[in-house]
Amino acid sequence: MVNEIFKYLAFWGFWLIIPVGYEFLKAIISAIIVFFKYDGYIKEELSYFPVVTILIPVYNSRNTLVACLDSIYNQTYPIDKFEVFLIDNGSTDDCFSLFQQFQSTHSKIKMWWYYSKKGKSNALNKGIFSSSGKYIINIDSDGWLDKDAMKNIVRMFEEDRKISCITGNVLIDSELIEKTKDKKLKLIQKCEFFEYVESFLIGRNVQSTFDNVYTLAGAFSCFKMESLLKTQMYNSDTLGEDTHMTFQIRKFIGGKIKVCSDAFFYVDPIENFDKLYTQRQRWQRSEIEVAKLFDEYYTGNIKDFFQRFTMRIMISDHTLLFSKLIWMFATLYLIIIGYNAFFLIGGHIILYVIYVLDSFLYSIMSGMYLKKQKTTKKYLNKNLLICFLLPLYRVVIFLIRVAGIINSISTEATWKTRTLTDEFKVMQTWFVKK
Amino acid sequence: MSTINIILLIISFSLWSLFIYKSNKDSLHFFKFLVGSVGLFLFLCILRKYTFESLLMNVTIKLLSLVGNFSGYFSVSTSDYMVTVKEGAEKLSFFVSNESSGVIEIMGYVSMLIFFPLHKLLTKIMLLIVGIISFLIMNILRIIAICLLVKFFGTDFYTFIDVFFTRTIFLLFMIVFYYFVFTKPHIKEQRIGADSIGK
Repeated sequence: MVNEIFKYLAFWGFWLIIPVGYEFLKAIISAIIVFFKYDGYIKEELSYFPVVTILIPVYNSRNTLVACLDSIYNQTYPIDKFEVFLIDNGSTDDCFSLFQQFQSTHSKIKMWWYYSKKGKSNALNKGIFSSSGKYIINIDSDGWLDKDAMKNIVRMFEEDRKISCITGNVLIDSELIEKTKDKKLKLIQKCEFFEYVESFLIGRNVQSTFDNVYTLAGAFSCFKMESLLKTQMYNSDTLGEDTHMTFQIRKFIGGKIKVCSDAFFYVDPIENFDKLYTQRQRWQRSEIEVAKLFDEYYTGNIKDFFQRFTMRIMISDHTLLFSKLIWMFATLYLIIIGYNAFFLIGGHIILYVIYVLDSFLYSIMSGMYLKKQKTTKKYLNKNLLICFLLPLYRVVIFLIRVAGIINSISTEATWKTRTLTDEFKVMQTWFVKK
Repeated sequence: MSTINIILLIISFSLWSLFIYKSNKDSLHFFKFLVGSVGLFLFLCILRKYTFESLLMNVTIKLLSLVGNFSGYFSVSTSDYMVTVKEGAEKLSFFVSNESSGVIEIMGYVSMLIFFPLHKLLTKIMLLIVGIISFLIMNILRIIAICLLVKFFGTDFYTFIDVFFTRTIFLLFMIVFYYFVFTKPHIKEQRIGADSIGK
């Protein structure tokens, strides 16, 4: 029987075995790298505290702004050594009055409020021109910084002068997941939590080890001011201004782009499936837009495939989606030709188990980096069984990414992509007379 | 195919065509691509044995037969689609079935390319022809490589050579091909900012 299942995998499951095998091998290698890279956070204390500017683009952030400012106020970095610029890019809510209240009750902190043209990139550019810090930290207004984040970022910059920019770990706030009442949504949020943990604590840490960080996290990115001034600033044409900036640093400055594994920023879990659907499509689109703007990194030459990790990432994020899609088709074909259901199911169970093991391995290794993030670590351990759901979640994400590719060709660039609910509503009109 | 199956097929095809028409009209690009390519793939699967499958298998087996006769490394029985490799006392025979004739890869490629919203009609037709021929040739080269490697390393290595070696090479070819058909043109044609809204 085992032989028969193997035979199935050998012939029909082959195209699936390769990506799964590749991902399993990647998981093992990543785990080894992460294990040896982990330094236990025993680091020298900073003796010099340069001025840091924190830029926060604000857009209708009344629900999250105060928590964000609180987290800055509670930093272990000396409060007189940083300045905070909030740049409003078109808010229609009362977040300015919340800022005023916060400022009046927290007089020790140096804070300024600016207005800019609509768009995050315009807001960030305005902030950069007004900054005086040696280092610039950009954070989103819908999240909060861990208390040691700034100190750890500055330490990393000071320890290695060749670093031009750093991205921190962006994780989902587990306490907010627990507040979600809708059970289905909660499951999606838990999957998202595990996805972020794996992506930042394993994925980007491994990339950082090999100086292969593809993109800085838009929600939490940090720059040396002198590096930032050598770029052409944030690009407002693309949706992927953070990836665009990473490429600028790579192209114009050539400095190191690193991940600070002990700096954490927490964001809200996804609000609903529609948001996930549009967010992931936007990410997919922004990757291709930036690739277009830096097309010299995507020649298609074999030499470049080995020399440029950017091309390998594009193959993984774009080209391989099509080959995976074919083999989803192949399963349908097997059903049509009446392939032995037992082997078909058996083969897929094996593949599923491999993916689950992958997720367990990543999650357990990620726990190492969460020693000081006790709440997050506890939540991760408590919910390890989510690993059984992650392969299904990945299939959904995979399909959304395909949607992102197709829609990026056919639709215009906008932050407001049509949601899945909108699309189903359009389909409903086919059956119901207007 | 029985009458009832033909009727079911016609109904399914009509519904599928209607979905494509409607989704195209309402700019549901992703669903048009997904339902369109999956649907086309399924129709091709159902119709393959009445149409192109035997043609593809015949072309494959006849070209293999030519190479086999010319080189003498393996023999091919065109009537029962069997390839035989002999080395000393060892002998290995295997069938060129629909599993190993590249039909699936070709059907998948055709289905996705037709509904991929990027290339112009003429480019698409050209890419379809180039793709089908390339997959066919690569598959023939894969089978020739199996024969040669089995001759060198012995019949015991057949599974390893077939499953892990030649199929890996085939997969790599497919990825490179897809990169130039789907990824690179997409990067080149991607519209950004004001350009994307036609200003």
